[in-house]
Amino acid sequence: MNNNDAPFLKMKGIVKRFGALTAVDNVDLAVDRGEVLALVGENAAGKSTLIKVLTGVYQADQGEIFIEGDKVEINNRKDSQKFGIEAVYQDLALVPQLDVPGNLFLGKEPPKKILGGLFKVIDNKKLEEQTRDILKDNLNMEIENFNDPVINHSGGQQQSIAIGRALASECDLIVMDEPTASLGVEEIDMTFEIVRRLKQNNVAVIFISHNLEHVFEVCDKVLVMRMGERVGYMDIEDATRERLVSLMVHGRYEEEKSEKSVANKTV
Amino acid sequence: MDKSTQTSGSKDELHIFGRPWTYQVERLGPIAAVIIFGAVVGIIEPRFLSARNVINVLYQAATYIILAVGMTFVITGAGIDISIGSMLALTGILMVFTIEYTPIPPWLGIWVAPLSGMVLGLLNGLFITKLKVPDFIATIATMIGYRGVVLIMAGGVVHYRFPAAVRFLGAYRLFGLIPISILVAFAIGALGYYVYNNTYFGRYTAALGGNRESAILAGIEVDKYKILTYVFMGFLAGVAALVTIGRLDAFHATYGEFMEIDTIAAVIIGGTALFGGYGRVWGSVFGALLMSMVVNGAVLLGFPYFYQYVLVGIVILVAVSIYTFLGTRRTT
Amino acid sequence: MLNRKNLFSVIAGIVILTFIATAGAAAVEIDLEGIEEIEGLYMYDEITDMDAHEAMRERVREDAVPIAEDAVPEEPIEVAMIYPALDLSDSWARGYQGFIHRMDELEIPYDMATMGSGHAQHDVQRSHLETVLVMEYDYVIVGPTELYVQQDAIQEIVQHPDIEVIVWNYSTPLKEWGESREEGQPLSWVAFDHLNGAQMLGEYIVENYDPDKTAMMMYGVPGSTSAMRGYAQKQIMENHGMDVVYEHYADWDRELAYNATLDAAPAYEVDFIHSTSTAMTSGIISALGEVGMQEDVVVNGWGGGSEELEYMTEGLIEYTVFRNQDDWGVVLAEMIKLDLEGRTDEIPLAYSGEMQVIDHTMSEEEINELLEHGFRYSREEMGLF
Repeated sequence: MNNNDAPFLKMKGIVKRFGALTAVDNVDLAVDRGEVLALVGENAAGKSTLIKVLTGVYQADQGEIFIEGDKVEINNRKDSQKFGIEAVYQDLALVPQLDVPGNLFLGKEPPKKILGGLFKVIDNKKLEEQTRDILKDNLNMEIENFNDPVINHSGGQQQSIAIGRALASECDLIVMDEPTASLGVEEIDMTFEIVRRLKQNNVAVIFISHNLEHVFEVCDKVLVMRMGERVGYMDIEDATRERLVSLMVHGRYEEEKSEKSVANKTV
Repeated sequence: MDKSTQTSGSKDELHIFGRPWTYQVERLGPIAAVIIFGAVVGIIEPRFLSARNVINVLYQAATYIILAVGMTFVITGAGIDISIGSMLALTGILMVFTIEYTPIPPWLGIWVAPLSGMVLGLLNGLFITKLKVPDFIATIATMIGYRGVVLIMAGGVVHYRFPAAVRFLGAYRLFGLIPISILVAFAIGALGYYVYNNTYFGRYTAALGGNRESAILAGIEVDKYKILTYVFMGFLAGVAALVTIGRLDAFHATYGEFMEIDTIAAVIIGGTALFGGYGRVWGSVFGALLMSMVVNGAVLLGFPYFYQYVLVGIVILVAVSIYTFLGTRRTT
Repeated sequence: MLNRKNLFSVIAGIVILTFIATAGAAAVEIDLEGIEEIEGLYMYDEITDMDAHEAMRERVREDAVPIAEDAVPEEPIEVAMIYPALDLSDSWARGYQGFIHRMDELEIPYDMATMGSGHAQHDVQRSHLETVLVMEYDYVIVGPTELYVQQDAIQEIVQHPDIEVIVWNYSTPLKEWGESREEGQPLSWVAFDHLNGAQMLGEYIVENYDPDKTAMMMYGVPGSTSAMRGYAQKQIMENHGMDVVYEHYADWDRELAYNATLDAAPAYEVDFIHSTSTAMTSGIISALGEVGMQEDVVVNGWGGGSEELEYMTEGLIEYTVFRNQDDWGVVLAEMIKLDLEGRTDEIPLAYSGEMQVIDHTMSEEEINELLEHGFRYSREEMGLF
């Protein structure tokens, strides 16, 4: 860390093209630890593409990424994991047939040696302990029967498990892609609790959502995208429903002429 | 924060021994079917449970149990291996040639079967992952290709009368009673169960079969584990070759033909999901045992031959219907 | 080297009785030493008392004479039949029909267990042989796909004091089991001797065709039957001076034979395609029709099933070896009767059913006459055609 004042993540001038289509057009983004940044916009606004650039699924055509002030290269999923970036995908990316511990630590199961160190196998006991810890400490939830396949669990629990999976890797930044879509009221509340907890634990969160009420509920800042461009960036206190909708749909808000300059100043 | 504390488990379902009842039915179904079928046929025709007949059924089942354990992993990884019968024959003839035509001692020569099986399985895996040929197509191709090599090597000549080392696994009995082959088959079942639940190979095979994208996102080298399932299958095809050749004390180029059908049927009866992600190793073991019992029981009860096929078909349909019913319950 | 002279005179006798002109039939030699698939076997005429053999043929030809009253078993005897029922040919089925009808006519009370398998299911066949030892049937008729694969299991049944074994589809006793029942041979070996058939077809070819021809061989599954029906035939044709330019294994399958013919017949411009089963013959004919070579290529049949005879009347095949299909079931019943009557000595150790070469010069009437006798029992269930 060469700059204590730098935000945890800064993306600058990101451009991603698919042939003739420019999916992300010169977008800046910043989010710090303990901060929840909402990323809003209509379908095909470029949110997912931007996130995939961040997680290394896509490579940007232009632009730079800084982690704690240092310029970094993120060329694949492994790179982003190395920098503590985890994503909870819209389709949850869980393996429906695996149980809760199997999903939480997929790819990171604790090993144990058997036959005098000849083979390395999964330490299932430790795996279950770690699972209980994560669920209790970070998510404040107790799941009974966590050896059932996750498909047996409710949508909200699956959401929690997906978030728990990001936490299990002790990440610094979690991207949550539509975490509240297709959840019941109670389960949505539960998700908000988890986000607040993450914030308390000094984790940076990027919260992608269609639902502005949910954005107002948990987010600190809002970044609005439209047709690949960043059209708005503000503190949540400055945002109103009308303003966000107008930005999402029209790319501008009448009472806000100097939108871009404000944003630039903030970053 | 109290309101967020979630204590409800999976959907309100009756749990038995800490697992949903549907899971228990799935898990215990195949073994229950074996016991019930054995008891019913045994009451009608007591000779069904005579030592000699039980030993015969176990001999017959051993090959399919061994193959079914391997196939469980392949199917769990969302694959399918149609080439197992040809691999059985090819590993068999390679072993037979080694023992008949080289100075390598038989106790060493028998290892040619499982080892060459691993190579054949590796080839299957490479065709599927590197050349991106769908599993079904790739293994149909190798089924034909491997069989061709067998025919080139063996022609129509029956090779028979092998040294003790070859016969040991397939024909010998512990204390003159329990076939070694069934002990090996159950040992492979136990090993398979352990591997499925406790190793990275087992866990990642289920993950890549259940949700390949998710496995990739979790940083799992899906191709590597996919290949490993085929290598494991090839290894077990070689072991099955040893068991079959040892039992019959003979080799013919047509060995293994159509074995893939019975093996896949056994795996399905055992409760493994055909489209991957969910394997039941013990289910496959008892599924294979049940298949052998049904055929043998039908013979002893005097079912005309063609009805035996109908009977096996019914067993498969009933098993799959039960699993589908339980599975539907689970996802609604 | 085997002395074949006795066999040849018998065959010559049969051939002369057939409808074809066989004047001056030359004996053709088959060198069994060169055929690894059939090592260690006796030819039926080498080991069998040929008087008993001829007497049995007579019995099979004649109407049934019911079992002696004092020999009728109190309880129905239990008979098991193990055979590859999934084989495409209908000869197994006709044999089965011949057997059960003859048993009824002989007034022998019996219960029947049939144990089938696919031709490649050697392990299932082995399991069935084990089952025989569990159930201890009185008579077991065993038709394995490959004799050598099952020989030890069959031998164990042969040695069982209460079970009598007839090996089916092989008329070639294993030398290893000795020269008599006392030494370890079963009750009998019954087949339409494949080598004998090849020999008869060979003689027909040598008689009727010039040597300067090319031929393609169509075998079944590699193994003893292909060897006896096909390799032996190839030897005869080559010794005659013909040129075998292509050989194919079509697994006794119509489709596979069709495909192979489609590819090979025009490419090699063959004069002969030697088939070794009815199903393959039918595939060959279709393919030749497709490439317009039906007129140019000589095709034979093997077995003389109704399908083949139809082809012959249409001029699609030139000649075939006709087997009285029902007979190989009838002879099983006759053997069981003799055994029950305590006349085991009269049972020939190996028996080859009656065959004759017939050809396209035959009239429909003559063919029908043949069928009526050959399929006299199975026609009820399966018809003549």
